[in-house]
Amino acid sequence: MMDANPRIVLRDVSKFYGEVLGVNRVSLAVEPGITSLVGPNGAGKTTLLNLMTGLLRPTEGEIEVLGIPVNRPERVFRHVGYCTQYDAFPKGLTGSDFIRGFLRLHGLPEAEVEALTRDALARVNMTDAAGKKIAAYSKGMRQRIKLAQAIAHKPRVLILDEPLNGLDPMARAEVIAIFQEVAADGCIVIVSSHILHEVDILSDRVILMNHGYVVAEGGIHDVREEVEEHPMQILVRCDRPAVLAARIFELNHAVEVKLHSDGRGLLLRTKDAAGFYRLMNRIAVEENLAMEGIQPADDDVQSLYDYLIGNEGGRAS
Amino acid sequence: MTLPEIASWPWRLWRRQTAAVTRLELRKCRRARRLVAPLLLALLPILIIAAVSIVRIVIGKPANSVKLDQGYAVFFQTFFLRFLVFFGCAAMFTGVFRGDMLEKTLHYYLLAPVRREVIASGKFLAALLATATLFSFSAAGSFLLMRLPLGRTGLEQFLLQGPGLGYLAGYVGVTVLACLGYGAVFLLFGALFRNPVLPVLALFGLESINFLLPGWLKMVSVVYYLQAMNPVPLPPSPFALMADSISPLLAVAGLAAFAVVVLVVTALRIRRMEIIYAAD
Repeated sequence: MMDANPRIVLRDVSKFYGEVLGVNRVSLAVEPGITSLVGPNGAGKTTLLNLMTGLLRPTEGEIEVLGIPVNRPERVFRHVGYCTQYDAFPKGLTGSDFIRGFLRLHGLPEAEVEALTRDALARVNMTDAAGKKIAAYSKGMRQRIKLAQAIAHKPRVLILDEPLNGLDPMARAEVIAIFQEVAADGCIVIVSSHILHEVDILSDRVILMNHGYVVAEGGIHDVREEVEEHPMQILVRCDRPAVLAARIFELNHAVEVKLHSDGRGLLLRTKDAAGFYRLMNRIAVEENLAMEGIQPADDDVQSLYDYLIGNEGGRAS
Repeated sequence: MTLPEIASWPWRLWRRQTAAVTRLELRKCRRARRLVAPLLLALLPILIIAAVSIVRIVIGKPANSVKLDQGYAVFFQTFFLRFLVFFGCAAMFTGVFRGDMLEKTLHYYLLAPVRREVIASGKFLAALLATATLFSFSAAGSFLLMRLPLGRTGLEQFLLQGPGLGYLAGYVGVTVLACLGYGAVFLLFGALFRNPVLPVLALFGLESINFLLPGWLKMVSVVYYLQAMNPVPLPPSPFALMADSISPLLAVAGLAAFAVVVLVVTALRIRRMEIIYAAD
């Protein structure tokens, strides 16, 4: 039976490689939309994705994808596409052989296999190179053909491990558009990536991992609000920032205000962003300020990464 | 499990999926390094026997059909089956899963909506087709080359009026069954062991001293069944321990049953397989 509430559920999942911890006591429910999995190298991201797709068996706990236990590949992979980080392909195959060959494993009629192969190649803009051997592809082409293979059967769950690696900016934009298309159809898309500013653009939710633990998960804004030890930074652009700065300290939770060097704005740190926005409206009216813009300065994945994981994790861009 | 339950399983889907796995594997096989050893081993008897036959013709040694039959039977049973087919199958079948693991491509299969038993069957079938084809041609080729000194007329007589065609079919049949039996065992070794070389050598030792083993132990060896089907039987070794003889039909059934049992064990192992490429 497929779940009426389509999601990926992990209950108390742990994975140990002998004595080495992969992930520990992870409980998650991933809903439709784009969820980013973020963390430093060795955080357990790939282990978590491999557990979700049955490539690894949990030492403890249960995993269900769309209500199907993940140890039933014949059922679960009708709905799941997984683009792994492994840059390896079966030898001697062309791009279209690769997609066609693995689509045939679904037991589909040949005409449908051909139609799905053509469609997948077109979606990743690889139709022209489809007849070439994969061994002759560039890194970017290999990434795209892997993505084509993962989406060829029109999965309801798309899992992507570092899918933007090796892609030039144009190809990245195209690939991100595909993720967004898939998510817009009500599918679950999970993207593991180090490229935080792109993760920020494309994802609705984030799962932050470090040392095998889920550090935080949820909507990016919701997670940011929960990080109480780091007051929220808000950038305000207006004509008289000094007036605004003087009044801001009416707010008990204002921690720090810095005037911008160009004299047209200020950066506020506050523990009560909602309270500030309410006060801001009143001040703007009372002082007749010409407001140009208000925006959170650290309500993004990069800031969450910095606050919750920091430098200990290493690479993140 | 009841028969109606078994009948309700999606056999048609599994058949299509098995065919798809086999087709993909055969396509990959053409470029696979694991095909090199079986190919070279299959060429070896053709080269050896061609050389021997040419030398016989050149030096004008008279050809005796009965002696040639005996000579080929010794060559086939002691060298071709026990060494060439054995190691050819070892190279091919132990790499069926190990090769994909080392190339980091096994996950593509495990991420498809296919039962892992079906993957194992499809991969086994592809490797069996490849080895059986190679070694059947090798057996047939070497068998015919052995009769080269008989000349064209002698060869035609041997094949069409004598026992030649029956022998030929027998040797090819035994070769296919050898690939089936050894292939199943080596598929299991490849799935069980990170480095299957030692188990392969241990089995080689056991198969080599098969004639010394007690009867009940002989029955779990591949060569025991193969010997029963050889078209030209060899006299037993003076050191051999006698075991009940087995009819060729029973030998085929026994070998097939043995292969099925080993395949089931392999499939159970594959069901629990994880992808941890870093460890390989």
